[in-house]
Amino acid sequence: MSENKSIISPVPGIFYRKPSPDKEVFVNEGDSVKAGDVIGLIEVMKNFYEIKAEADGIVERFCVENEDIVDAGQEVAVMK
Amino acid sequence: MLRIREGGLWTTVQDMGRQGYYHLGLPPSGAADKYSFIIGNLLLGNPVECAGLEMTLLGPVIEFGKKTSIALTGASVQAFINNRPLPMWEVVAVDEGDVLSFRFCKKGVKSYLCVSGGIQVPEVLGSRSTYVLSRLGGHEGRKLGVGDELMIGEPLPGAFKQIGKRVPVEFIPEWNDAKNLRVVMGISGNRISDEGIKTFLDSEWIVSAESDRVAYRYMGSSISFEEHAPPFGAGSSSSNVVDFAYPIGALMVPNEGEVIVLLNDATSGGGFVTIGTVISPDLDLIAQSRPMTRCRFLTITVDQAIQARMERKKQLMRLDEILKEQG
Repeated sequence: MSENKSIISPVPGIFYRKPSPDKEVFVNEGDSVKAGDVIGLIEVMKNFYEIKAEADGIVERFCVENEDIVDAGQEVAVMK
Repeated sequence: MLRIREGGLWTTVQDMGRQGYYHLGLPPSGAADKYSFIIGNLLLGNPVECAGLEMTLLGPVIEFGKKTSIALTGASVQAFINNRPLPMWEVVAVDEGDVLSFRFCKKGVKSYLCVSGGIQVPEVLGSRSTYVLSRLGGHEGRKLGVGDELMIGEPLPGAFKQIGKRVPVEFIPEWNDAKNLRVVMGISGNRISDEGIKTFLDSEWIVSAESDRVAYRYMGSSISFEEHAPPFGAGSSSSNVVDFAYPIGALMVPNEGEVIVLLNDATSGGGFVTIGTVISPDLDLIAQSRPMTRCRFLTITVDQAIQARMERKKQLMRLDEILKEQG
């Protein structure tokens, strides 16, 4: 049995699922990722912060939409 | 020595700033929230010009290369020394090999790490402050990253006697989401219509996500310009005037839907209409305001602005005396 694990944004800002508007998303729901893989970006104060998977696993779902505003400490995705 | 294991979002070496070159196009840089920064040095018994680290929303991970004393001030963050919570606004001893790390910053933007004896990057034009846009000062003129090593001063004589000193709660700012920012009106305010000035002062403004150390942008209302024929040397837009030197704190109106406040890393001149200037103590509040939070602008006179500056100075002197009496 595997446990679900949250991916939290440590910074507030705008959440993006793509590296740039004309590129594909970093990952789709259901994709396998390795620890350290980027799953999204947060734009804040003219910086982009990379949100990374902390462990190997599967991205079960995203909890926020592309371009949603998130707060520091907010869950952005769930892994299993 | 400080060994940087992770850089955090935007961490730079800052001090009180590089004064005297703004007219040559070089802004002062320096700590964005001077009040919190100064208190860090006061706690440690450091000279006020000692350099520290300015951290933005997400702090770095730092290993200490020697025993010293530190103080963490500014935006309220969850900080840890070797996974043990680190109190803010208090002098704490650290040992060689201790690791400082951060989690979330829930209120405010800028936190400050001061160390006894200060951070010993070379001075450039009389200051250790980082000005990233010109890659000048600080550590190689840039924000800190993995593997950087910063020299720190020897702990000052008596540094370890300062341990446990802490700032009384009444001196610790509350980083409320709605702020009142005091403004001295003028410069080219005559180019804004009466209606525009009224809406500027009556409106609630929202901090935009693009705000940083160079400037803060505000949205949420609109300001109408006075009809006029542009003078020789000005651009053709209603928001243009003949180029002039902007003060730090200048409130520019580049278009009807936006106002911009220039901060410590600002461009030193240009040709936008400026409606007034935010007073220096309130620039600290701006630096601590997060994107999407609100503010209002209140007008005060030059005399009141000078009064406010004096009060800030007296408050810090009072705190210094209280800290000297502790322990």
